[in-house]
Amino acid sequence: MEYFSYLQNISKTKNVVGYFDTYMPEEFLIALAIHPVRLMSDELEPSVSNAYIQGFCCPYAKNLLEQAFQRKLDFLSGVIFTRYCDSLRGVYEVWKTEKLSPFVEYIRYAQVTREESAGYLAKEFLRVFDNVGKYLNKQLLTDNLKRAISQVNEKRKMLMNLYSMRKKGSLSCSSEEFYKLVFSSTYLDNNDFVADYKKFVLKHSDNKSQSKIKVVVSAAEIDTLEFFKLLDEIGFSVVSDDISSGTRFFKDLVCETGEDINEMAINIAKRYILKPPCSVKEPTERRIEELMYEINSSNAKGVVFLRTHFCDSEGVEYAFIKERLEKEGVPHIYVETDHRLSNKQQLKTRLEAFAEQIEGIIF
Amino acid sequence: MGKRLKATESLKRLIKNYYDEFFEVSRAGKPVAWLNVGVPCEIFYAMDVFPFYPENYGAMCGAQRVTPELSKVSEYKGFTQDLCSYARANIGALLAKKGPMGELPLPTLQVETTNSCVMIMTWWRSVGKLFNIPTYTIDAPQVKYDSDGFHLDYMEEELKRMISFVEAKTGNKFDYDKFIEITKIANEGKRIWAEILGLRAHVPCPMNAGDIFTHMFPMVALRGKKEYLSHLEFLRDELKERIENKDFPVPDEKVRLLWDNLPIWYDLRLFDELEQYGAIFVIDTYTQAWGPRFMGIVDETNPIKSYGYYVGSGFLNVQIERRYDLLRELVKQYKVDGIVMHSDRSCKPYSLVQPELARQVREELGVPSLLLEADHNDQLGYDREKVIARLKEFIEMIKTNKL
Repeated sequence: MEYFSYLQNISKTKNVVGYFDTYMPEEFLIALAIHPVRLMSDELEPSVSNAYIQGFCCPYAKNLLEQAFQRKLDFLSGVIFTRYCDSLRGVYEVWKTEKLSPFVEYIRYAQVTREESAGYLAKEFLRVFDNVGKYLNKQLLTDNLKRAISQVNEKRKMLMNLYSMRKKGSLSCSSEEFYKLVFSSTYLDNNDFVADYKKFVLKHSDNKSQSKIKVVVSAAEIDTLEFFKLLDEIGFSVVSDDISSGTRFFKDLVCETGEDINEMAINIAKRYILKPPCSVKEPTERRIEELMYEINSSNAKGVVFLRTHFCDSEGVEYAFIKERLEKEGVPHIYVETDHRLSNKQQLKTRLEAFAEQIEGIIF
Repeated sequence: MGKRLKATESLKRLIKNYYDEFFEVSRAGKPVAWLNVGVPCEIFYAMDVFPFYPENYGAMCGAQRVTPELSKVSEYKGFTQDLCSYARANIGALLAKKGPMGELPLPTLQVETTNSCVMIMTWWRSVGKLFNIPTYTIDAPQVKYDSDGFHLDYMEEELKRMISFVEAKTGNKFDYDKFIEITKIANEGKRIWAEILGLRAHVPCPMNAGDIFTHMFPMVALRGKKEYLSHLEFLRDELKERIENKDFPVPDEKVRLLWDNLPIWYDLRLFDELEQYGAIFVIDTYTQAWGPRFMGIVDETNPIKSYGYYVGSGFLNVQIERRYDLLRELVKQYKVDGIVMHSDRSCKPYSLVQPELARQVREELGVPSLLLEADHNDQLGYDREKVIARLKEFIEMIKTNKL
């Protein structure tokens, strides 16, 4: 069942709450018996949203706003924004003012990824999820939060295992198929994901070597399977990534030793604040190190750096990623697009040239 | 048209002295900190660390129209054109070792706060990495209306951590008594600044927007210095004199306008240009960031927490509700007929709520707005004739509606 119909179906029996970036701690929603979903972009062209937000807003963020205006997200009981990028901040203000969901919460997130910020962030989590509980008449209980932490950790471990198999070459699937499963982890119910994961591993486990060009994709966010399909068609195999719904979503576990809600909130805050950072956080050194690790551990031959139009923070981070890749002698290409791949033909030509460049190096 | 203030000469001297001191202190190897405008300079003056504001320098690049040339240098290094034009100009100037003031000496350290935008953070990060400058980021999570409760406690802790960082990097100690003295002077200056802004409510208005934007400099970089007080007093007295002598930029005012967002630094004359149509910008939102509503009087009995409050509740760190309340207050206080919203490609947090604000202001207050697309610092793609034509149409529409 596809994304929208799946969520509409879930919403008949359970509250579904949407979120927008990889910093929203889904543990709390699961503990409140709420179905969390990281909202994904779709094919809609900006239309109603044009009257509410300018053209230099990130097209991905604007697309989510358009979906809400077009009533495609009516299955949501509410949404939770965090302080992420400046475009999502603008989208949040419109979403809230236009009352596009029954409730709109905002986590006053720490931007600085220092351990000292964890105490503050834990209190902020408890404030926000107490509000969410009040909206939906639910209460945060110690045992439920403990179970939720463990459940999300298990999901992260499954994803880690999946990536490990992919990097070793023991999964014979296309990049598109692989990322379809990875992205589904951000919206499927846990039982459904576990079932799909098991089926996937059973179906695709083998050690057939592929003659494709191994690459790592680096981006803020790309949830468009069409992009991975394009890479497959050109002859690439995406063996790992540095994207917020990929490795930056599942790396690092929450410490499970917390005994009461406050301790657990601090453990959750520490994980989210110290995990591999997006470029909207400070500092970002770990991101580059993690990217290098993914390249080396997957034996990738190159990096495709993808920037969404108008994404300023990625446009800064690229300068440093580029410098590091050049220093390490890793071939890379910088491309720009939007969630709909509206410049697909141009992308294809550039990526084909990149494939030829890498093949020239390999053979 | 474009009646100049006598205080502008005094301002030029202040700016020259400030930059002379900056170069002198840097040459002498004394500690210099590059700060973004959300970081209180008072703390640095109290530590004998010279506070320098690259955003102010960025505005200078804009006013001298050198941003596109400097941007090319940073773009060549891999920085995107979508990066704020202040940052592109500043990074380009550092890489090229040139700019309006020649080669800028690098600082001892940098401090920035997240209370405005992600861009500032990435800008300071870039300079820190490119030139190996120790950098501290004061975390200021965005609030709805203002900082309170555990958020305010966090802001206080953040400022204390920042002070420890500066002490460790410079060896200079934080002098509490000196800090209180500086805070008292800064508070006095803020009171005068509030008076200056208040005098613009007079009908006719004694000062157009180009002048107030230029005169922001001491409010940003000199708070707590004695010369800052004397300059502000001079400016206030001159405005009072103008009112007394009925000496106004537009004596026969037809349209009173509000400017929202940063000015277009490379075209400050735009404001004067519109005076011939009977229009004057009587107030703006940007200078409010240093006004009583957003950087008010610091509590001298609990100053760190009080500064923490103002950093945490900074103008771009609050949400649309407070931005709307500000517009409503200003529209009423200044008898505003129309709002020009500069939709600034280089400032998303300021700009992306403007269509929503424009709608609210129109529906609830009956005041029209014009959304004007430009960039505060990069003149590439700026079509002055078209901008003036749109503003003229807007002014004519307001005049017709007033009949």
